[in-house]
Amino acid sequence: MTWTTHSYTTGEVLGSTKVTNLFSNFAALAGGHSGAPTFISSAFSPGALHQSHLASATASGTGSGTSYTLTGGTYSWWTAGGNGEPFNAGDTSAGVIGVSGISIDERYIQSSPPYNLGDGDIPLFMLATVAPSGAIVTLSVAPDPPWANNGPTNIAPERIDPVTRRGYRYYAMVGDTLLVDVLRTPRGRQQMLRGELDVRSVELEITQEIKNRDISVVPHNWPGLNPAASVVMLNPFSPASSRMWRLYEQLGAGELRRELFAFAQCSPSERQFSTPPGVVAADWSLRRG
Amino acid sequence: LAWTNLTYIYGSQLTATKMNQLYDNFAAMAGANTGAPRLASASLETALVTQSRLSTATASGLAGGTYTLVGGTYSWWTASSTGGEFVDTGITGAGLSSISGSAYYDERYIQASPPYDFGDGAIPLFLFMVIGDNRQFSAAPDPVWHYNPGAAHPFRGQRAVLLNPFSKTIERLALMHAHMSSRDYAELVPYLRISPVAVAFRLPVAVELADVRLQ
Repeated sequence: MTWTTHSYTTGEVLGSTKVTNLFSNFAALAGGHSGAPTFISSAFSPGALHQSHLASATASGTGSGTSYTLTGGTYSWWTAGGNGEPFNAGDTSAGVIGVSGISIDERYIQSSPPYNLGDGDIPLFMLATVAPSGAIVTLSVAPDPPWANNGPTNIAPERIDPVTRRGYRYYAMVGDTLLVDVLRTPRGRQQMLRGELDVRSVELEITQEIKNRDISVVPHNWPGLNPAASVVMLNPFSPASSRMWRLYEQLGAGELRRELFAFAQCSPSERQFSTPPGVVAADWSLRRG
Repeated sequence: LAWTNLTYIYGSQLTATKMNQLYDNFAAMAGANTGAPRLASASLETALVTQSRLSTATASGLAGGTYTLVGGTYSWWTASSTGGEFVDTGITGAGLSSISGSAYYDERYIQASPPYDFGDGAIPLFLFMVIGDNRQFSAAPDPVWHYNPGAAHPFRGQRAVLLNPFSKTIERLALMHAHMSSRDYAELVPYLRISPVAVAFRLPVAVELADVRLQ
């Protein structure tokens, strides 16, 4: 369905094609097809957007002795339940809260699902730190990975092709380098402030490669974790994880986190699948409880 | 294009004018022109609002004592210690956070009504600094008073200046802002040199002004 531009002149025959095209423009307008006018903010009735219009998801996790990176980053509404420890964990940053020994529940606005690390779309990311016994120490459950909303690369599409459903975004570039990468160094920031950088805007497709560009920057939710700690990604493709996804759809991440924390047991994964750097693939099963 | 109310009466002539007006009503509706119907909640798909559909901005700050969130009650925010003990002494009011010690603040908020032009041109970035403490700052593309009536700057109980938003330094900083967190600003702020403002500019609140350049 495409948008058709029309003009009508006196004396011409009003054919069925023109009238049909005019009718089809309703769908082209609603679908955001090329050439169709786009709705501006005030075209919406005041208060038209309700909870269900937000593309939101829930995340839930626990921290212990480190800061905790909110899966939704700065797009997260969050609550934290503590165990009496202070709100204090040193220098953290946007989307990272300096708390320890706590449970966190989030609702966040999604940027760019689905996510695929090369083995198929992942419906639910379950990351954990585990003890040598396989018992879970800390846990994070969400449909989006922590690097999607916390890395320097903005992966939220500004335009979605109505036919292919592929997302696109304009990125500020310096040569072939994203401006955001240049600004990650104090030198780059000073160059920018002195007007020494030639910045241009380029529209790029948000591919899986771009979506996962910051995977090594935020590989999991626990910055400052002891490097010797064992961080695992629970097999998202197992039958048990598929059932977990069904539960997530009904109950949200908080209930899953409590369930997994109480009853899950991890073991080395029998199936190889891609994981973030420093994160090991693991299988999991429920203990009787 | 204006919205045109059209009626088609049985037996009347369907003119080119009426057809063109019908066609133009598509654009008039999308553009919310006077008289055009508005999109009601029920006409919208669920989960249609993703991150980029929201008109949001980020704000960064470093403050001690009571800090007014730039986005007020429209703010998602995280706060973290600048090093020492950070005790949240309570939310003191809508849009305010009160702490002992000092903390970094990072917000994302839903914007109300950008851009802001008070008579001298659109202001790209509101960067405040506390007088007598070159560590405390607040940077955002929206003014704090827009979401927090009565607040001339975010630092309740302290004096602060607004750095000349029409200076080259602030103009360039505005281009970087979306990529900067509070800690990035904290690294940069010590390099800013502040001096008495050379040219006055208009603002709707009484706030002290200063010029700024990069050291």
